Amino acid sequence: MQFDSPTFLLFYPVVLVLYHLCASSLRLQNALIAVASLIFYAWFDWRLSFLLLTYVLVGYGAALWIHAERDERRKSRLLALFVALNLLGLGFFKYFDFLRENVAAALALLGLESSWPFASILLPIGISFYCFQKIAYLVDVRQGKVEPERDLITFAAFGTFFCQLVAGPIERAAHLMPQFQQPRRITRAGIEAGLWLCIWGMFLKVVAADTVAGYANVAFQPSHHTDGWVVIEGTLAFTLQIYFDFNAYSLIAKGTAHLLGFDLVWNFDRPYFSTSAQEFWRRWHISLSTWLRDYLYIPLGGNRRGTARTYANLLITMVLGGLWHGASWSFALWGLLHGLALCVERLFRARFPRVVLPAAVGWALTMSVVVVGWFLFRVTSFEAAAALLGSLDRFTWKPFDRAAWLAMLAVGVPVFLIEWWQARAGDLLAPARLARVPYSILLSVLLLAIFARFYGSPYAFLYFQF
Amino acid sequence: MPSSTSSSDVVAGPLRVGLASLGQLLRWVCARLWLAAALCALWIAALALLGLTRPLAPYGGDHAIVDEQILRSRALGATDVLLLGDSSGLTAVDPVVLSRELGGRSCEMLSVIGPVRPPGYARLLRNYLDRGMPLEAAIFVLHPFALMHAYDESRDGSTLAAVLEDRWPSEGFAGDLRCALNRHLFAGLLEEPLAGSFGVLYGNGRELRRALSEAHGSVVHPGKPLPGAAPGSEPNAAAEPAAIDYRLSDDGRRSLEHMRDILAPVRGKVPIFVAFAPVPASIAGEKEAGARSRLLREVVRILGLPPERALELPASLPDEQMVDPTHAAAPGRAAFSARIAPLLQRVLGPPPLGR
Repeated sequence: MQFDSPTFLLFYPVVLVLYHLCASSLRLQNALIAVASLIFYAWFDWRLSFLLLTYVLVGYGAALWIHAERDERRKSRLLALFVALNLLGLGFFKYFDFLRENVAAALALLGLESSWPFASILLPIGISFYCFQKIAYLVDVRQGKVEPERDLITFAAFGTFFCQLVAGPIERAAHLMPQFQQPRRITRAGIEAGLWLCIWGMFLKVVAADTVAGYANVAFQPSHHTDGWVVIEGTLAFTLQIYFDFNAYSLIAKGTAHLLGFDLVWNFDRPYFSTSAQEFWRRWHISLSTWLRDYLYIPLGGNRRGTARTYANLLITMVLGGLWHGASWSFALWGLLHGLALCVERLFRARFPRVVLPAAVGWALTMSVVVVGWFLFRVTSFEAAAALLGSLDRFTWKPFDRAAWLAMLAVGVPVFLIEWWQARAGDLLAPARLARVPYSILLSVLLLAIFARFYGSPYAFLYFQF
Repeated sequence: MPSSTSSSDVVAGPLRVGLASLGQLLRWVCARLWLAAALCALWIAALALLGLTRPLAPYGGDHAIVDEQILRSRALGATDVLLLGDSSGLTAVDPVVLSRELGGRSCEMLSVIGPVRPPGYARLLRNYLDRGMPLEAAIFVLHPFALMHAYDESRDGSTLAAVLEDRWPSEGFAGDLRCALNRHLFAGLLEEPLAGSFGVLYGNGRELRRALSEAHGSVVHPGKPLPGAAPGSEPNAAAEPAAIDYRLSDDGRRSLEHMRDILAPVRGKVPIFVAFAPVPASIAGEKEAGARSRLLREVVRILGLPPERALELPASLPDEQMVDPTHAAAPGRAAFSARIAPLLQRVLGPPPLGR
């Protein structure tokens, strides 16, 4: 079930009430969370709950085994084995069809035919997220950063926590596990923060993201009316959509967790205010970028093996990060673009250490890379991309163009103002700290807008497909 | 002395803790949200008191066109020639071209969509005339296919009701409130784009309405011109054979009779003409020669109009000027308008003095 669905609006209050009724027993609360999370996940497709349970049980047992093993080399081999198993599951469900299609294409180039007698593999929702979470847990256990959790119910609650299960943030055990191991303290400030995050997140998804999503979808569909304006507006609309959509999910995840007494990491920190690619990746999908840094880039050697190797590690990390989003060459290309941007920035700083670009220039360059990247991210195929790019030679102003710009401004300006306010205050929860009357006025407008759009045109959260 | 604990104490204790926790949560939530909820209620009450929560046209291109034409029929200034009918005329005739070719006569269009049906087209004319507005001629441009087949009630009967009863069906208080919030509080800025090619050209319903008004009530169909005719794409119609059997259906007859009744009070006051919209040339064959003309004359007869009110407009356009069997493409719109202008000029005569 999605956060912005009527089903979740019934599910969550029931869970919240039961959770608080179990306030006297930590174990009962954890058990409730585990059961509720399985129900949440099974709602998408009940068969997938077996896969999730498998990941949880394997993760639980593997961590205990690794920790119990005394021989360091065997510990590392066990870690490698279980990381490989995790990746095998991810690879099978997510990349098998991609691999098969590319092998078939390669064989076709050689004049050989191939056929596959089975249907496509179903992609389990959220597998990229909980697979990465389990890998991080096993690595942290191996490195002694966390102790393995011995209580299965506690671990099951951690491994299935519905607030962040299917679209992140990718929580580290060091941050989240202790919250399952001790009683949660519900505070007034936490409740108020949680309420604000849920409502603001819902506004970002139902109102902001879903409004511009319609224009992005229209713009990216093939049409003889497509021209340069449509391509530009579609790309900008998608740039806004993906940010609003994904940020919304992370905020609702954090808000619903707050109401249960949990604290999840911030996954976004105003990324479209970034003035460099490096800064962008410190602010965008923070839990993924730090995961890639800690579990891929650094193990590859990071920046410790010379300049050439550093650039190679950056490119490998970003390309794999792109492929994490989906089994498609356009995602790999998106990752490569960002990898190249990071390399160019690094090179520029190394060559011209005294040159400091004005913030506006840095912002413009960064956003150029980001927007072009989103174009690559959104197109469904290289042929579609070529067709759209071929439309850039003509510009005819149409009613669609005005409608698209007005829609983007109508939702973009309020969001920008809120984020600018957060930046000025240095506090992502600044609106939640407003006095009662202005806060209530702001909330009433957001709630009315959410209600007005609630049954508009439900688009699934974008990151559900990753 | 050993203390004894009953099983009810074992349950009651944790339950008390749980209820206290839940109560604390509810108090904090209510404390933070009550004023916002009250303000929302005030906004809604204000909308309701101002009568702004009455049912509005649902989203979608079809509804936008119908709603806008209803509003225009009640607000249009004095015009010389009024074009009405279904979407075939809406997309095939350009009032600006006609106006120029008819010696500067003002031309406006109140054509809508097929589901509105002939009684609805007549109602829109009555909306205009009942305000005491002058009119030199009213021309109904209909597509013959709509009169040849049974009407599918399930396919948007709400638009006919909206025109005849001047009220859109309610979608329940929540649905009506949602529409009201979108239109009045958020000025339509949050409106979804339209589906398909209408979306790529017009964006959303608000822009479609604006474009329709600016084009004096007509619309350029955004569809791609036919490479060859695609029979059967007309909704409500079965696949059309290459030779069309022009025969009035029972449902079509009933619909025209209802239209006649609505037009009865004004039939003698203003010249009313009826014409058929064109079809693609590749499917323009008639099963019986002259059947199309006979059908047109029968329509005029059922409406109680003199035979000379049947306008024999061109029966077809080249395929590349049509998007489907019932709608002209942009090039077809210009071509058809230019072709029918002289015919209308002959029928209407020279423009009144002073033009």
